[in-house]
Amino acid sequence: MPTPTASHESKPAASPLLAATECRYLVDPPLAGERNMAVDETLLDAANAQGTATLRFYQWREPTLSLGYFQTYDERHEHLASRDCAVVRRTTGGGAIVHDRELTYSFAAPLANQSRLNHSDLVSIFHYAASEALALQGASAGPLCCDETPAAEANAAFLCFQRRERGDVVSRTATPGDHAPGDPPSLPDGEVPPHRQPKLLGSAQRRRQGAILQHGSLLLAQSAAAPELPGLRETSGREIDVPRLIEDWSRILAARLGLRLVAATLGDDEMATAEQLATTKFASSAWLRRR
Amino acid sequence: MSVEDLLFAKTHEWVRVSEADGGKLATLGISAFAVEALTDLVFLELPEVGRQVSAGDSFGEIESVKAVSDIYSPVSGEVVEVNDELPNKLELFNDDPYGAGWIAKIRMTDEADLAALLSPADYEKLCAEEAM
Repeated sequence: MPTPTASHESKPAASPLLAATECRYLVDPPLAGERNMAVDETLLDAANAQGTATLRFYQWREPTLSLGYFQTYDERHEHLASRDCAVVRRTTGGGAIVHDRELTYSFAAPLANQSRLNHSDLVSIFHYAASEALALQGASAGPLCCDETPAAEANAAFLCFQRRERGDVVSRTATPGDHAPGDPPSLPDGEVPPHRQPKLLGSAQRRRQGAILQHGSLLLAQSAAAPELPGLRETSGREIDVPRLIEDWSRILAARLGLRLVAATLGDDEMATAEQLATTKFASSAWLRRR
Repeated sequence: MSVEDLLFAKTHEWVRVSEADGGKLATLGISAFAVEALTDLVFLELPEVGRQVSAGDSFGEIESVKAVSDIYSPVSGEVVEVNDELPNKLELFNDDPYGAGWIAKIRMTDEADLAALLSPADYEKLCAEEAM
């Protein structure tokens, strides 16, 4: 974990985005999907009600398909490879994600400007920080620029990682492959255009009054439940050292966001709230099949 | 329709108040500034007709490029009509945010709610500060 700032050091400058300078830091063991989503919602509530910021890293107890908030449940039947996966609905938008050989982060924080609407810059900070942390392990990845993003693909595909939006982190490793119809004729042999380079990290947000929840998924390796999606192992040829990645990513984020990270666990009240939310909301058919 | 007839919430909803059945009817939507700031609206969930809301309650949700945000009611009352056409024609938010892009109509129960809202000029100042 990142080394907490020593008490004699000056406090970090407050982020212009956030109404917090201190941030709880959690690395959780793998949990079931409904519990992971319940913890994230509990963190959002804590950010909104108490002004508490939390950065959390976690994985999933079993391969789990998470649906974006507005996706219909029936869409999952069209993706055969994940049909045996557990399924949960997120509170955040975007496409479905197969959480298997991946790392998920969540970040909940009070906002400095509560009437500000667009917080895509928070996504950028997380994605650039991830790219830098991955580079420290020799994996080349970076956010898509606007001119690399074909608008027609946005929001069309069922899976988040088959969508392309500005800021999504894609592999920058030259990917062998045949040219496809429509590829620029000037493209060197053995390369594909950026919009078809595999997406490795995507994030989504939920606003609640004066707070924001952002979570995202980093593909570590290809999953049998989503074989169409290569991960970092396939694109970079490397096994990512996950604890080291979490440490580097967190350290870079803390500096960018002006946050002092403090290792923590959920309080008893929060644990109880999360347990209740997991049971009454995220595991319920009413929530899962609300669309 | 004139923007000058509207009141605005700090959370970027607009209200147009009219007389109806001896009471006040509030037509609600989200501001042109909000539509532009959110960018690429993709989903909208409307409130249910008949629902009772208090000022400040979330009464709808909107997704824009993977961010889901609540829409808050600036007034208290009963939802008496919703714009059913809107979820399938989100371009109306851009084309006519203060007209065809209305979201819901609420029969108001407390006119005092209006005192907390901003005039068009004050709302414009709020947006200018945010754009800085």
